Amino acid sequence: MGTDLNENKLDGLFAAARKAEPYEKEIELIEYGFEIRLMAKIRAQGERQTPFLLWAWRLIPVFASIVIFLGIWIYSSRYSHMTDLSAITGIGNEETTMMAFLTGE
Amino acid sequence: MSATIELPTDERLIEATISGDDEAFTELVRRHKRKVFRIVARFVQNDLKLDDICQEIFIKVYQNIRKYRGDAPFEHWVTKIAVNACYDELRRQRREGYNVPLEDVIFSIRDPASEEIPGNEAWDILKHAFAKLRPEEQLVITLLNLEEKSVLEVAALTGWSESKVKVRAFRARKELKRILEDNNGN
Repeated sequence: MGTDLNENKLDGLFAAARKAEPYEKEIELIEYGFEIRLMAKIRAQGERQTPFLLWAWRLIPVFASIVIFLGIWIYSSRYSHMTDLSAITGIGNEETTMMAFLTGE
Repeated sequence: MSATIELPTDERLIEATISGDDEAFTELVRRHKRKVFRIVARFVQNDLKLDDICQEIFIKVYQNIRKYRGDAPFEHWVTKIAVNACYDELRRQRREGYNVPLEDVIFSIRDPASEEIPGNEAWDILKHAFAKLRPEEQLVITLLNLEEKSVLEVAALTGWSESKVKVRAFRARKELKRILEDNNGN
């Protein structure tokens, strides 16, 4: 095994291979109705994409109401949080406030 | 009196496809499918992949038809998409470790000066030897030596520079010679 291969031999091999028609019979079989199968595949891919877009549009009101609800909830929780904080800070100062009132300061 | 039916040009069919006429695209496929089949057949290792790859190519053509600028013939644009799809397939084959052992293919390269090698036999030898090359080497040697494209054409089809094509072609030929010499029984 392992003999020298000159450039002419390699070029001869390429020249011979160029004459070959690989998968000639298979191509003839594939060629038959190729356009029909291709267009069916393209249409099927298109249909697969359409319901997703359709659902995305249909779900817009749902997403909008979720956003509004979250906005209201965040706003109200922030307000109630602020009320609680003033109550908490007020607890420690009750006695000081009363003494200031009684002493007239 | 002779009536001649004028067939619409590729450009007219492209315009019609863009405006939603699928029948026009079917006609484009009918016109260019033979060339695509022939190119793909040079790269696939078995016929099972042939139909899938050809369909993928024309789906890409359909999806990107708006990007066709018309500065080169439509056939060139389709060929470029086909070559890129074949390169992807070669890389996929490499990743999946598809490799027919060359030792299983008994061959002896006869001297073309003394005896003509049958085309199918030569193709069979090269196909198995190509499987041992790297994808970029397979691509460049197939386009240059089997499809008889020029360096400039290969550069345009692959998007590589001319010097890159030349370097890869040189390495591919050297490696191919080494593979064939190692397995040549003569």
